[in-house]
Amino acid sequence: MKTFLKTPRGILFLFAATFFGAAVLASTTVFFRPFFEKYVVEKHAPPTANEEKSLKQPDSPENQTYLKKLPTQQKTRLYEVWMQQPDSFLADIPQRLIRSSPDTLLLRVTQTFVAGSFGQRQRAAVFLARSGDIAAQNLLERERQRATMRGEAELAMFIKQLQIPH
Amino acid sequence: MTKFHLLLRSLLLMDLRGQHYARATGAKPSELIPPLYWVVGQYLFITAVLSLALFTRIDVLPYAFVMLTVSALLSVSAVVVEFNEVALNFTDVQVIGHVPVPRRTYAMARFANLLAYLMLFNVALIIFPAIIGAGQRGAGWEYALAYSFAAGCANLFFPMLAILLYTLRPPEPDKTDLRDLVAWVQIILALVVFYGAQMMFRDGQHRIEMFLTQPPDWVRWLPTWWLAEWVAGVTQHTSGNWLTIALAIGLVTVLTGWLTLYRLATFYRAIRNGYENVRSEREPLPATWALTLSNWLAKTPAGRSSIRLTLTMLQRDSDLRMRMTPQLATVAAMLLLGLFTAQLGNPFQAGDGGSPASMSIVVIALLVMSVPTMMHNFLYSRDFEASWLLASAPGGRGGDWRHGHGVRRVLLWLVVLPVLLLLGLVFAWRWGDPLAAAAHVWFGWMQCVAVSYFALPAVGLRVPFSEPLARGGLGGRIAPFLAAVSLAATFMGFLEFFMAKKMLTAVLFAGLLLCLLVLAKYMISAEPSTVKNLKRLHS
Repeated sequence: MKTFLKTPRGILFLFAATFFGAAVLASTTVFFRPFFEKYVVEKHAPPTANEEKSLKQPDSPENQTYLKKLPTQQKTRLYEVWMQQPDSFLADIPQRLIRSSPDTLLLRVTQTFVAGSFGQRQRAAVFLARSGDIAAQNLLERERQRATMRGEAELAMFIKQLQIPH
Repeated sequence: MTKFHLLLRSLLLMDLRGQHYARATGAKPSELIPPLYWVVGQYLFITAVLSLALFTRIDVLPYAFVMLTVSALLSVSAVVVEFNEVALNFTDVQVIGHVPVPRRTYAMARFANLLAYLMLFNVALIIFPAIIGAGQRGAGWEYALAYSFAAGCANLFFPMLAILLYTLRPPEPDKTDLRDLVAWVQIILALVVFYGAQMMFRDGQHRIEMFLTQPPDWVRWLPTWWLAEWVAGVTQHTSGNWLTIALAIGLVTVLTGWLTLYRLATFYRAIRNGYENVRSEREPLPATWALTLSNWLAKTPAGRSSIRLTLTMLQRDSDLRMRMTPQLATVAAMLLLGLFTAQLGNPFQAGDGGSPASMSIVVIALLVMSVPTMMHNFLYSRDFEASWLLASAPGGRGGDWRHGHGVRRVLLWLVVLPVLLLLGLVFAWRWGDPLAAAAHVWFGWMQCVAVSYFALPAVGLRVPFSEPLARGGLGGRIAPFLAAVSLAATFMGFLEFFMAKKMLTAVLFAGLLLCLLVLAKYMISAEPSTVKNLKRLHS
């Protein structure tokens, strides 16, 4: 075998065997797509009491000023808190957060659509739908088209249902 | 059989029998697994890691773009690094110069030979991205076909373009700078892919996925992006004129191939017309700066002569430079990883306000660890038989290590110091604290100098360039010493991490390093029993 592997035919055999093995390995990977998708998820730190409290405050001029003055990192953090339990907070939180800093929040939501799990992307779609912002609606439509392109019919349908009332 | 078939057959047979693809991998021709296999294996490994890392994380278009770009870069680097032995062979004229073979036929045979290699690399580069990419959401079997076609054309087009550009220059057989540069690109790319994949899993802000999903405008001007758009269009049935574009892609590739063939024929005509006879065979004398540097770095004639020899070998021997590449590339890759993951913090900063300083310390530790390996490289040469001249030269002062010291100084002053200065600049820019950067780099310098003293007996560097490269020679026999250096460098890194935050402990750490340096220098000059033990370790 050693002698054979050193001949030109042996070298070609070695390459052919390696390529065959690589093709088998690659094909096997494709069948494990759900396993890989399991790890596509955004990790959010658990909310603190203060963060929860600020999301439970009713809308007021003071609250709007407070939100606007918050550093970017904390605004996106509030979005993450909302994402963990969207139904625990007031319904207009998405609207207030996006109004406080549209570009930052929309970029953060885009990140969820890129790197989030299926459930997280659904919640991000709800966040955008509830915001009432035009740029957010445009983003939602883009994400619906993207979901269609990706063959994620369930997510595309979910987003479409969210879009109907608006 | 025509002359073309005979030539092609003999070229392929020669290539398969005598493997010379050592430049990119550092593999030796005597090994059972041929060096070419490691090159192909390296491509399979890189594309497999990248495909798996990106699988399900990004869409079809960015996925195709990344894989097309990486495979094009790798195929260009493969050809540029190795084409002296595949497409543009200056020594051919000595073998077939007297045989009545038309230049065009010869060029065609060489071109076909090159195509055989490109096809081999193509298969290695396409398998994983095509099959795994087809498993992406929104892709399918159309993706596998479209990607294979686009990547096949790109992996032929770009290497041929590189050869085309190279043949536009006058033939210069000793020109290796470009190959060195591309080999660097290849190794750094492998490390960046490896570490970058880890970064993607660790980065909570998903910067790589975001970058690829929303690329900046300049990315849309890259040819591989156009190809990726075509692949995505075919896959998702959004491209109406996909067949016309496919024909255009194929036509451009064929035209480039035809032009390359034409230039190769011109190239072989040029070297046939006596270029080899005109070229001076005399090695250039050492430059004035090299003489001045050797006078400055060494006090003894033996030291000066070994410094000049080392400088000449560094300039002449591309294998020597390539053997040093992986060590320094690791440092570069770790630095890039630290920058991208924001872990290149200031170790002198107290508290947890700044970014973690782990990578800043690891980068220096890696450089310290690379010193003995690089010194060990100076022991080997293809022209090792000529070392008798140095070995039999009159002794003079300096003891057993008089020549080794010369090599050590060249390595420290011409390789390690510039790297440290560059690192210092990056740290100073990143931390906004030049003083801390200078101190960090100074700690690294002291460790490198100390390790270089210990490494002399451990690697047995009495007469540089005096041994032939043998299987396992580069890494095997100094492995215990390297393990010891790795442990020591890691320990010093930990010490710096904990001691650098306060002024008093930082000064203590500097004092400790100074003691280490003095001890190393004393050991090497006094040759106590420890050195004998290190020698025994070496033997």
